[in-house]
Amino acid sequence: MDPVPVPAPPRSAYNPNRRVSDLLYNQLKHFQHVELKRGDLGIDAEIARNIHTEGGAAKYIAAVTTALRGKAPSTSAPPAGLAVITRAKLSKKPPAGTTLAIAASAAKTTAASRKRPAKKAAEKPDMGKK
Amino acid sequence: MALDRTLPGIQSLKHVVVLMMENRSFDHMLGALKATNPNIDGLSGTESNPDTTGANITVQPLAAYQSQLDPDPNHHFAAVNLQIFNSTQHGPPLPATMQGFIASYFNQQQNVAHSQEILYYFTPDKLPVLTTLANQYAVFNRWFASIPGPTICNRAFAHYGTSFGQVSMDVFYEGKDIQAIYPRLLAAGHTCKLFYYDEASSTMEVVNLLQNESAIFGTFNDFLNACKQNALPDYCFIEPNYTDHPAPDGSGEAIACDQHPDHDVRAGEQFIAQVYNAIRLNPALWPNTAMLLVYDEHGGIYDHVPPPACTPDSPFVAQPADTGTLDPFAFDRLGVRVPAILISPWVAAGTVINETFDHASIPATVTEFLQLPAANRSARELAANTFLGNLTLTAMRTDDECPSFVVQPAGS
Repeated sequence: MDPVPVPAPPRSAYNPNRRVSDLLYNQLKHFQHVELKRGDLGIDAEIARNIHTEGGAAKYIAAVTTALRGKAPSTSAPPAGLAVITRAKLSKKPPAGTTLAIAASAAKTTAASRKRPAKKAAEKPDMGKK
Repeated sequence: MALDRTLPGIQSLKHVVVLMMENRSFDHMLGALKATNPNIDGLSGTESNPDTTGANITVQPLAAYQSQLDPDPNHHFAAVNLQIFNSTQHGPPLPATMQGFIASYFNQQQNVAHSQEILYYFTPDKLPVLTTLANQYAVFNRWFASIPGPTICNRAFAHYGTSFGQVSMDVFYEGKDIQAIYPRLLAAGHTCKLFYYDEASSTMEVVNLLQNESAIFGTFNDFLNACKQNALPDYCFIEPNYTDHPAPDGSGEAIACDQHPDHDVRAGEQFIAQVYNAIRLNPALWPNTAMLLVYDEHGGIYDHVPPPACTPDSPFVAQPADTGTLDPFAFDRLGVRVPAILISPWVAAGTVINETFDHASIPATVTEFLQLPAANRSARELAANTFLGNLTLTAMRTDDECPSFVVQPAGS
């Protein structure tokens, strides 16, 4: 039986600036819960703040996951043939109109947060809007 | 029925691998296969839903890889109730007509034409991996999501056999008395791993397992290495990549491969192929491994089969404040049907399985196969059908009889 070819998606399919989905939003909430519960996992405040997009959320998730597992991020190269696209970095500008809960460490470390109560969780992404 | 341990496939079996993808219904991904295998309970092309103008809209083979199901179709409990019962307020005894999918999707954008696209399905040629695996191994006609709700509580059934009374994404089940299958396996001296894609995608099992059982986790690279080194655990569960992100090791950019809308479905096809190839192309693993490819829930996308009742997950009951309808929910009926395929050289090509399964069948199957000692298990897991008894061939299929895949690089 001849091997079946499996085409890759186009490069345009990749979009780390995509707004986080409802699933990812909830995964982030769980990570925030664990970060709060475990105390200071040493998560960079800048990383904890920029969780509006898939790329930004991934950085925060990587930081907490690595801290929970108590080791450095994997340094092995991804397997050959995987849909890993090497190209110039995309703009990091988050999409307009997104609101998300500020991660626990960001809320703790800003000077303003030392003077006022922690911010409420932001509203969930509007599933009906493009 | 107890597992027949005289089956040669069971006597050879050493590893069970589960890959759980995201948010696609059975008809959406496999429905077209009815045309070539009438035993598959897919689409005849006459299935329909009314749209909000009253027009009768039939299913269409026009599913696109990306940018079609945007916004993400609502798949929370109340929306799924509308999809199944055409009511936002009540479930049974209303009939499960499966007529509310277009109405549900219309609610998100008030766009009549776009709402009809929730009935679109893939032609087989657009899904070469799923189509090949479905044709060459065993398709479950009746694998349903464990509850008519979203991802995290459905995935909980795959790990724990229950969602501890939760129907939402706020599944915080710390300190519960039912363990996940992983510590149960470890306590009995077996090996297991939960492989997430990489640290940046991580796991949906954050709150309990990742923070308390971090040693059971590995990455997709770890899975591939385990396959190469013939060191696969007795049981492993694989999660796809949930986001588009730069690879943590700086080597490039990893595209989401979970097939959750609006991620490109082709990336998921490649990921499934890679998992399959890692087992299939290792002659030391292939005869001894059974792989289950399954989706966590239907993602709000159309399916024509009404979900059945099931054993209640006593003592758990979700109240109306949690369901978003006017009814409580006793975990006594399943969610919408999802694609599920059992892959093994001990399964005949074109097999179709008609018994009813849901994700509680996963820990139930592993427990049965490895004969784990008695433990506190959920009512749903105790009642769930198990699936390894479908490894029924008396002789293993030859290499020529089993497919493999060539994953083409990006940009080709």
